[in-house]
Amino acid sequence: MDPQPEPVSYICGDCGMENTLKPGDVIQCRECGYRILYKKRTRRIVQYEGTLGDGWSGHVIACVLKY
Amino acid sequence: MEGVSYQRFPRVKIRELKDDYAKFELRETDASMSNALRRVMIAEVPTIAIDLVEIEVNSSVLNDEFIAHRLGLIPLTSEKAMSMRFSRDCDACDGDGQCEYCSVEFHLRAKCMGDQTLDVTSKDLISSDHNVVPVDLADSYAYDSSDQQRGIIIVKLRRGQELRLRAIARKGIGKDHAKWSPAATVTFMYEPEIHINEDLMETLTLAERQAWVESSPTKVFDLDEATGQLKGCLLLQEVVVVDHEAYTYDEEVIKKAEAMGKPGLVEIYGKEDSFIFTVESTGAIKASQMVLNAIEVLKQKLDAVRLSEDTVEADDQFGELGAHMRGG
Repeated sequence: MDPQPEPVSYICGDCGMENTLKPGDVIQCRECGYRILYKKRTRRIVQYEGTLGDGWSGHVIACVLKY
Repeated sequence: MEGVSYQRFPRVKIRELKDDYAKFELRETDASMSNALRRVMIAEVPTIAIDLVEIEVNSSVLNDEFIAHRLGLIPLTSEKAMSMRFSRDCDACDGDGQCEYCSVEFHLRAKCMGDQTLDVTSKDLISSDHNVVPVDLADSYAYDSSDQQRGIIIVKLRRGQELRLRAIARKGIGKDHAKWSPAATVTFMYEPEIHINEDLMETLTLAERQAWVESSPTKVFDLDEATGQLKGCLLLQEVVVVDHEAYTYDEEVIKKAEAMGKPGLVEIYGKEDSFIFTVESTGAIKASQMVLNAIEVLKQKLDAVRLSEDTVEADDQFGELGAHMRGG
């Protein structure tokens, strides 16, 4: 048995009202009827590597700018 | 050919030494050594840099990845990097990079409460190890840091925005990512050897000499006032080399001599065994320490070759070179 999915809260794109939706619910603001809702940022801690590529492309640009 | 040795004894003469800058001469060796030293300084001398970022809260205008990348690029004081372990081969923590031998933890908490924009800088990073902190060159340059802090700006916050995170810094090398390179620039040049053909120069008028001297884009030559006065005649001002290192191997003076119909007026060679190094550090380690660490890393690499099974197997193939590698 899957645990009961927790309702997720969304923010209305028009009036800014907070809506809680469960799977299967109609995507619509309860206050103003607007149909665009935004998901909120997770409260979990998220991990990122402080590394993109090998970093040398930026270094080359910096050198070109310097000389 | 037993007993043949290619060993040389290079000499170093230090010209200028500052915390983040070094200029020195390296003599009696060849370009392969100089270039190896240069490349090791740039790509293989280890430093410490932020490598993992755990973001708790970020309501700033920059996204999480952007901030993680910016944190990675902040130079950290890395004197202890040489004695640290790479987290990938750390026994104490199985390589997850969370122990005292291979990692340093940082915390950052900032929230803008007022109407003024809040600058979050490298000075807001709280380190778990007082030996590993964001580089601050302001101290060594005696900027007046009285009214403003001079850290590296990470992000700006407006009222209500908040940034809360934990970061883990690890040992690494520039070959893996440029953020671990301690080098801002490392260059070397061949020391030029300049021979002026005096007999041919005698045939030039003052105006011609002047024009020739000025054809060099950098100030290498000049007219010697003293000789002119000595002989009581402006016409006899001698052309002298004022700064041979200013020569950039542009060959402009050679082309100019040819254009004037005086080929061979000057001959310029690069001395193949003399190099002038310029080393600039990011501040992670002192420029002088960068050179010393590079030599240490180079020695470790040679040891790896010397002790390798392949080297023994390849001995027959390489003959005297193999003997040389083992110190023969």
